[in-house]
Amino acid sequence: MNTVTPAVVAAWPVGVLQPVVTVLSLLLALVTLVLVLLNRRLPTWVLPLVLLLQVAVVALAVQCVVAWVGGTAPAQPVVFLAYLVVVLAAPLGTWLWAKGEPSRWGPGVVCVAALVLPVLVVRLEQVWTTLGA
Amino acid sequence: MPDVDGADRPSTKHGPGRVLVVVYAILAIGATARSLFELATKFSQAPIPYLLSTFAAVVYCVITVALVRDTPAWRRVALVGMLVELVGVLVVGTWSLVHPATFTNPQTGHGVHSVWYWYGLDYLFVPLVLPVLGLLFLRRTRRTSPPA
Repeated sequence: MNTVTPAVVAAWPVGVLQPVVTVLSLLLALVTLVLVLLNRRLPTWVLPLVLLLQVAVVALAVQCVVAWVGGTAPAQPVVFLAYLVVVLAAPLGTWLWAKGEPSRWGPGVVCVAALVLPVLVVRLEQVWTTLGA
Repeated sequence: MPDVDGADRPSTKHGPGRVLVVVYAILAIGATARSLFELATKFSQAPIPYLLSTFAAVVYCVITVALVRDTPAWRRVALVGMLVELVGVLVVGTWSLVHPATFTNPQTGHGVHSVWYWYGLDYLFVPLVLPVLGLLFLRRTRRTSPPA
């Protein structure tokens, strides 16, 4: 009975996972920032935190897809999907990219990505709920 | 001392370039998706700002590819791309301040917040800072010895 078209403002289906992703991401940013300042390359003990963040963004994506299949489509589907791909690829993708860098810029990569990720999730919400100008 | 850590080689995908690639890639994907959506749904409402967004998206894609390819020729492509990006964000940013009517969607009455609108306000001014950092990086990692 859903007469709402994709062009109309939609309700954002993500609840507590948004602060969870934000906190985990900022924690990862803090840890890697310290590594940058200490001039270390990326150590393997950071990986569990990266994996935890990866699980959180996958769960967030599942929540969005379930809502979408359930009839609440995002206002800007193409943009939403692009941002979702970036968000899903961010934790492990930047980890792999960073492992190839044998200097402090390895953790630097993860740090920048972990700082951008919370912003991307806010953008996900914006392109889901509004049409923009 | 042998060049082992890669930071001193004139490579565009190592050292600080590693981070630049990530930031450019994120902007490239975000700007491209946004511009495709705008072109597909509301291009005729405000063609100039939407085309400028598309242009910015193309520039970001080219720079990302150039940095990853990491050859002397692609390095020049990255350099030109960053110069275009810097001029673009300055010109479009100023234009959007001086003549906001061009960047207003007449159907919604809202400003079209394209990538370089207000010097990249929507993107936390990253579009303004990034070309400066990029150009400094390319300058700092120039080949010091003449090409063989």
